[in-house]
Amino acid sequence: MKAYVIRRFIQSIIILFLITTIIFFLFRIIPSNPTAMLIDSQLSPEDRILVLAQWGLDKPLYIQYLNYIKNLLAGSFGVSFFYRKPVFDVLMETMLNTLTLMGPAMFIAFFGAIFAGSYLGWKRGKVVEKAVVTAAIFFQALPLFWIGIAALMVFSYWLGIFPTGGMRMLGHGASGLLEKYLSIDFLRHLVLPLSIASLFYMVSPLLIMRTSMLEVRGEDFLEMAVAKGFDEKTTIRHCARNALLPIVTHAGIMSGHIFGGQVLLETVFTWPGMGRALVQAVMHLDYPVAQAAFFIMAGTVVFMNFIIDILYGYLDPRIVYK
Amino acid sequence: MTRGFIGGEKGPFGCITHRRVRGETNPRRKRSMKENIFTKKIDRRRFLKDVALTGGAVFITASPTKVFAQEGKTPIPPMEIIYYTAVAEQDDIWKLVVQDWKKLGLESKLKVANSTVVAKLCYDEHNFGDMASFSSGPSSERLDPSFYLVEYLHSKNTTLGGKNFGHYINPEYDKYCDLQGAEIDRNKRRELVWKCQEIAAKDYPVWWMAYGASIQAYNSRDWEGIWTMPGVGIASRYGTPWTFFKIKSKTKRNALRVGDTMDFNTTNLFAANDPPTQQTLGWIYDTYTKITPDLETVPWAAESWRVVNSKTVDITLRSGMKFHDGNPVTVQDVKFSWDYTKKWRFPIYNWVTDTVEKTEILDDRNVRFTLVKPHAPFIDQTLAFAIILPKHIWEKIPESVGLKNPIDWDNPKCIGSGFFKLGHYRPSEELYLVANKDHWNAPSIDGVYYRIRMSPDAMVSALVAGEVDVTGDIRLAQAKSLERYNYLKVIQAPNHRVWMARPDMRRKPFGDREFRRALYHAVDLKKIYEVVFDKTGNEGRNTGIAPIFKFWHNSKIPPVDFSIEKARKILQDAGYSWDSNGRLCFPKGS
Repeated sequence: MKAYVIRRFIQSIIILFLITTIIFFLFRIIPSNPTAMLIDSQLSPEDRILVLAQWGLDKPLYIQYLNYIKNLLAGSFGVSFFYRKPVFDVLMETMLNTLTLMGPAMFIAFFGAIFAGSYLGWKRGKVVEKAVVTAAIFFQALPLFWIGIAALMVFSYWLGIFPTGGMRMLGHGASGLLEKYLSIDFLRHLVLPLSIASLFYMVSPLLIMRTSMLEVRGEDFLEMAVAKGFDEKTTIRHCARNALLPIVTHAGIMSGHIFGGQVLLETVFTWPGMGRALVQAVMHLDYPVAQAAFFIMAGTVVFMNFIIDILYGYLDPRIVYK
Repeated sequence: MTRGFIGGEKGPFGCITHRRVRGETNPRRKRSMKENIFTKKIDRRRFLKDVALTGGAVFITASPTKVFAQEGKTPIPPMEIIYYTAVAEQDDIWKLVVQDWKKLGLESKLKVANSTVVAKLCYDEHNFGDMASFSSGPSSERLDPSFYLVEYLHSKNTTLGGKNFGHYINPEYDKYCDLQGAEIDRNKRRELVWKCQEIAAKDYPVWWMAYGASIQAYNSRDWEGIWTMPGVGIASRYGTPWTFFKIKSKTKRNALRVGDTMDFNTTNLFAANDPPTQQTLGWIYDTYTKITPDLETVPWAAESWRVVNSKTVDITLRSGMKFHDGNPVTVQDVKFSWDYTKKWRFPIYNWVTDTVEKTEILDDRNVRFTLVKPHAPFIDQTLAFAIILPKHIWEKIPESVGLKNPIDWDNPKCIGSGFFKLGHYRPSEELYLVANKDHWNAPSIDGVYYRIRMSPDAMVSALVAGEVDVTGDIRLAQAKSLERYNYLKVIQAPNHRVWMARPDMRRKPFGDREFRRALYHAVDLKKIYEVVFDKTGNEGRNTGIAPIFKFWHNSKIPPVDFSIEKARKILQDAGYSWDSNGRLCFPKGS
């Protein structure tokens, strides 16, 4: 077990390193440079070279790469070109904003999918199952941004129930964390994007859970449970626990959405989160911010998969680590 | 001797083969070939002939230019036109233009790319294909003709990194361009600016397609006293919105809420690398002059100025001004601001400081600027952008905050003497500026909130829902969708955004003035104005100085009338011709 964890950990580090390297070079092969965004100002060609030097972009690529890795190992993502402050400071607040939206959304999506998927798998062939599965597939087939725009159109534009976007009303004076994230104003702004995100990300695990339930349903131990006279609720619980493994695997992939998959959602709902910061960084070729954002997304997925691999043993004792 | 078949004999597979007399037609050729194909016995001579014919056909199809060149006609290859993605107007303009150019026998290849890519290809590399199309943003530092005359067309800017990437070189133009840049007398300068426009108009180095407009909307139920500014509209952060000094609330809420597509990246002006941030900081710090909505330069922190000679300007500092922390604004602050920025050489600010050689304090109200060389836009442009720093704060920077360069300082309190104070800034979310009621020209409102980085759709929705009072620039279709709301009003304010296309004059045939002239006559500027821009802004004319610059715009330049026939005639007279397929060909011997 210990050897497996160490091996798996080293693998994760290697994967992360490779991703980091790819991200670094990916931005450098774009036929442009970040000072292109300064064209709009009165910057002379000489001053643009000066800016490049200040940003360390005048050095050979391998030196830039080594500096980047060195900074990363020291726990620094560097300084944002656009905001002129440490990337960590730039992303910290937006990360929190994203977490407050996507954390609950993923929680609802995951656990909602487990309960709903178990129930639907058990009720196979019933009207409720057919209706929910059809609705789920329909919902999944629609692009997220379209659902967001449609929801805004209906609930904000026509009915006027929810705000049209943002995280709070302009001028809302909340300063502390609790005040900021627990105010009625914030919750009003949260409802619509949270509902859309929860429902959208619930579909895949729900269908996986349902399919997994159908597979487990035929197992002998369930017939035994029924024969023993267990009630339906207990039987479903037994079945669901055994059907959990695929959905746990899926959770690792879903975790990437916490930071990465919400770019469109944040744009549609003007949510000041990391997704929008990433879009901004890519548009302005703010390499340090964009690299850090991608690193955090990749790191989340790699880390979650690492945790899930270890969790397997606890969830299914039949799995033996070698 | 009679020529003909003299007999037949059996071949190796039992087929009949024939001996043929030289020059005689073989009546059984078809059958013979069929037999050969099936029997794998290919007629070598026929095979070689067929290969040669096929090769010739391929050559003709693939290289028409070379074949026709032998006939003395070389078609002009399809023109590569590059422009930014995500700008719907560009697409619409080029859909119209390429159709008309097709009538001249010219094919076009439209290439779209991200703005940073186009910028690099155009400005950094000067290697963008045949022509590039873009628009220059209507920021306030461009409210002087020099930008359009010098940056885009002076030959000194043909070096890599320069904006004259079309490589327009005309020594006469350069001469007048330099003269206007050094002429302090405004009226004399106008003559020179007009002359520059006149020369360039005869050379057609750029096709000026249209001049833009700010289309914005506001809540007229809650607010009155809108005052639009070119490029800024009502309250965009592309300059100073004069609306702030006049607008009145009809409700108890006296803070304006503005939807904004732009970001705000720092409170340190010297690190601000986008115009909206720079301009916003120009409200928190005082500048020496300001440009009014009528494009007049008016005194601001400089109560008055005197042009002593072409290289010397004296200013009188307005009395009674105070920084936000209560300290008075003095001539020491003025001198310090110039000396400090000259010492640290901030890239974004060098264009300001590089104009001034030294500053001298004449007395407790007057400061003398000695310029490096005569610089005509000094009062209208440089002094309208240059800020007054509080010496008591900045003289300790960067040492007191443990930094090496002031550019890295986050300047959290952002103390200036401007008509707004920094309220708060929430990244990617909100910027709040509080009115400085102690300012000699205080805003008529209590403050202004900017919801930053909104999409135009989100701005419109928020306006309808009453979440913002004013939008930034929106699209025409969105403006029309607002017509049904009686509490909203849409404004269309012409500005100095210029939509242009410029060819690379180093490439054939774009180096030919007549070719450029003909192509400009084949651009339907009226249609672009009416169809693409729905009659907002102004119709394109043969100058980069937009008509909103009433003083500088040379209205005597004759309009370029749209006429395909005229364009064809110009081309014909210049030696261009058309091939049998109607394609425009280079002049003979070019």
